[in-house]
Amino acid sequence: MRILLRQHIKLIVPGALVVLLAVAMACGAPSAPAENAPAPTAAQSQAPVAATAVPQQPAQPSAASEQPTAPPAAAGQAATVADPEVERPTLNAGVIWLSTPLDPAESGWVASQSGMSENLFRLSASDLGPEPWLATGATQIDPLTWEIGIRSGVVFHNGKAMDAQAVKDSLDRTVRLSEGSAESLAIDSVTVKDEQTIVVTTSEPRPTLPGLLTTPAVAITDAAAADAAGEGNFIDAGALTGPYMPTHYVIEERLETVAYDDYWGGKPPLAGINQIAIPDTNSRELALQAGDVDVVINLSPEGVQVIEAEPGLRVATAGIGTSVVMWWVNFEREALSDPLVRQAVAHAIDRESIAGLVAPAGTGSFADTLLPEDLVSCPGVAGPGFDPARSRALLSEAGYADADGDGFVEKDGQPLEIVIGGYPQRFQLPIMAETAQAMLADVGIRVDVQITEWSVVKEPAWDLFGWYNNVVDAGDPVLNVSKFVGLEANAESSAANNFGHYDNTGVAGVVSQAGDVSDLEERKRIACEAMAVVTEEIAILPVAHAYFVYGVSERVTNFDPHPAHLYYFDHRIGLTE
Amino acid sequence: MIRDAEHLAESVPVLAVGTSARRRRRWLALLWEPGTVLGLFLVASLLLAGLLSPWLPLDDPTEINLPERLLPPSTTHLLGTDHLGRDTFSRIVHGGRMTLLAAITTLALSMTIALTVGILSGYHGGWPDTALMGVVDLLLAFPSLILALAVAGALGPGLFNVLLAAGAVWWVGHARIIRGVTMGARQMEYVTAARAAGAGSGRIILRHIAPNILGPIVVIASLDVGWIILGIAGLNFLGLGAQPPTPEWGAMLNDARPHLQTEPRLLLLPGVAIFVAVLGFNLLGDGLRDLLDPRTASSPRSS
Repeated sequence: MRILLRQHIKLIVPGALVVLLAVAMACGAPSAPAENAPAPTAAQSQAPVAATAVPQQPAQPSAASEQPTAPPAAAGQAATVADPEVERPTLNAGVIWLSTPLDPAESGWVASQSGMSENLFRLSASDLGPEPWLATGATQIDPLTWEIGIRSGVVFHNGKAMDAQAVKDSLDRTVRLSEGSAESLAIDSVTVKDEQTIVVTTSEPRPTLPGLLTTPAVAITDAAAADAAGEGNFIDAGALTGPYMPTHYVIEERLETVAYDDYWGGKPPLAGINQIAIPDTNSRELALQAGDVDVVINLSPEGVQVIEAEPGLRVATAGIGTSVVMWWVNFEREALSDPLVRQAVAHAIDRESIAGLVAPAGTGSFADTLLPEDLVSCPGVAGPGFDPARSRALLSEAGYADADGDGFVEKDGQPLEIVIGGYPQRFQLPIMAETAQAMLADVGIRVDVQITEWSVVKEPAWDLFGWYNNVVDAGDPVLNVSKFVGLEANAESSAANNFGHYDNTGVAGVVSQAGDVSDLEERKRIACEAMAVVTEEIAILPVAHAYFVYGVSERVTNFDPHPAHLYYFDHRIGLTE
Repeated sequence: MIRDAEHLAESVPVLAVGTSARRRRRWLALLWEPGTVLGLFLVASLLLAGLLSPWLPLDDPTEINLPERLLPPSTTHLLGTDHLGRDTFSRIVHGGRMTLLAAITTLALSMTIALTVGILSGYHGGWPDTALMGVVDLLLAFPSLILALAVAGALGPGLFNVLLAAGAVWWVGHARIIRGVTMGARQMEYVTAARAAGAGSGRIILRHIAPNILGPIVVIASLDVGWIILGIAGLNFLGLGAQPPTPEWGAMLNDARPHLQTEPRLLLLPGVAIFVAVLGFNLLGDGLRDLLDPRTASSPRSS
């Protein structure tokens, strides 16, 4: 009997462990350690994206907390606000990252995405160009001067009216605190013309100033209140204008907001929105299915299938690929510094097939070149096509041959081995790495796949590094080519990314033509010319343009997904019981 | 396999007391133990498949074939294909080879450390014992898997690093047990006799102590393989071990996660493989314990 029991235990223990492993997977427990947003844009790259911010103090009495505060919502249940007359539900959302501080001057992504902060201009949902938001319009007086009308009737969360003086103070504060913004905006001075008008003077021509003012770091903030609250107490300042006010924020974990009933666009039908950071895509999708959240952001293609088949849930997307999934190409590593090898690698990878895997129809499209067709179409600019024979010929031309017959090429006895990196939070990147590994092996290039943390991109330890980033910043095609090669639109800024250490001299010459060009068509032409150089030199390897794909409960009402990365929730979204 | 175990059993005169006739009876009884037989069968099949996998007529487990991704089981692909069109059956078999190799290497590494530390500590006593057991106590305070996770994390991803990490933390508990049995063996009269005859410490350890503590070591080792497989699969699942495209059960589980709901087969198959391997080693280890442990030696069927 004892032995029988013991044998049963032997059966049960490993079984239980396998089940535990499965449960752990379902919970996303083994997902990657908490990291920061992997997609610092040009303006963001110098901002302190690293989570230096102290989590906001939740227990402090604040202007915001005097508003009816939603209790921590139980799974899928509507919370009740303190107002006895109106009962409004709280929406729960699952997002990948909650990684930036709430103060816009410290980057402001989370504040913008969650509907807390607003800018003078926003990216239009239809053409992704700038459209007035807290501004009423902008007029360029001369190459260095803009007159911007300010919307009336806007009140900060702390009750202070947003007038021209407040906007001036906000812009001055942004320029003072955000080095990246100061550099991209090049604001020399802001003067108050009248209560609803400011005049902005720049030190260099900024023909796309309204577009640059859509950057989250330039969100309009009550400067005096934000400064008075001090670091780590931004919630207390009530310094933003959006339809939701933050009440509790633990960076990388959760963000709780309550509706701002005096919002200029109208009273939100929700009591508030709570966001939870769920970095693992699978776990995020399961949280939606379990009813723990009502909205999740960034579904995988598999998730789309599952959510579409699940009663009570639906998939929502604007259907515009505003993010690029790509590889940085490291010019400082020996292998890829040789243009022939770079071309050989590019021709060996069937990027279109990989795009079909990571961004199939309905979730994205193949990115032959960097910018999406929706922003700019460049006839005549074509990326390196899939051509293994050509790849082999290029390798041979570069002096590589398989001398020892092991299937992999060498030169002077040294095998050609490259490292493909990436980070796990973007589900596309590990799949890209593994498929490219097999494709490169076919032409004799040995590949080591290293899926680690996004910040490894800053180390010189990789040849190709998978990346996911928005590619519609400021609605300006020139800016969006420039930022991936270490150039701002004016070709002088150092605030952009160039993780591959690509020598951007050639592109800089092209981009410098855009200096004072305000005509969008002309800027598109310049962007195409720059893209031709970038594509020719294989400065980066684009794979797919990904849509923002949301999984949404049918209980959610009036949810119009915006194609861009900056606006998850507006004041109209609601939730039925 | 049986002959090996028998040989081991015969070399454990202290623990496996009994006449050769009784031993034979016990072996026969053991063979009738369905659990042990099943364990033996599972382990033998795994070892055989693992050893022969490079020569079996299987598809290349690393060859990606995108047009054939996520195919259901068929005659061409017995267990279907995975998210990159690779043959799942081939990956399971090759993954088993990798898993067994990893488990046996880890076991060898951890047992070497455990034997060295345990025998040194148990035989010498005194300050080496205090110092070594101090270290052991310190390490025992950490859950071994978490400690392995930390070591593997520090070393960086790679199967070799995971083996080092697992080997480096797995020996701790065993060292304690080996120290205990060594202390017991040291006080035996034959050791005193050997010492009186002028034998040195090295000779006593090798000739008199080591053979007499082999029984418990074999039992620990066979029972441990299952846990090591689970531990290594866990580390691989977390992405610390085998790197793509190497087939490995834990890594396959991780790869399959996005398909948890659309293709649960991809998750279940490596899960079942791990389960079967662990079960096999545990059943076998259990049988060996019944045979070699003097407390259950009189009859493995006693209840």
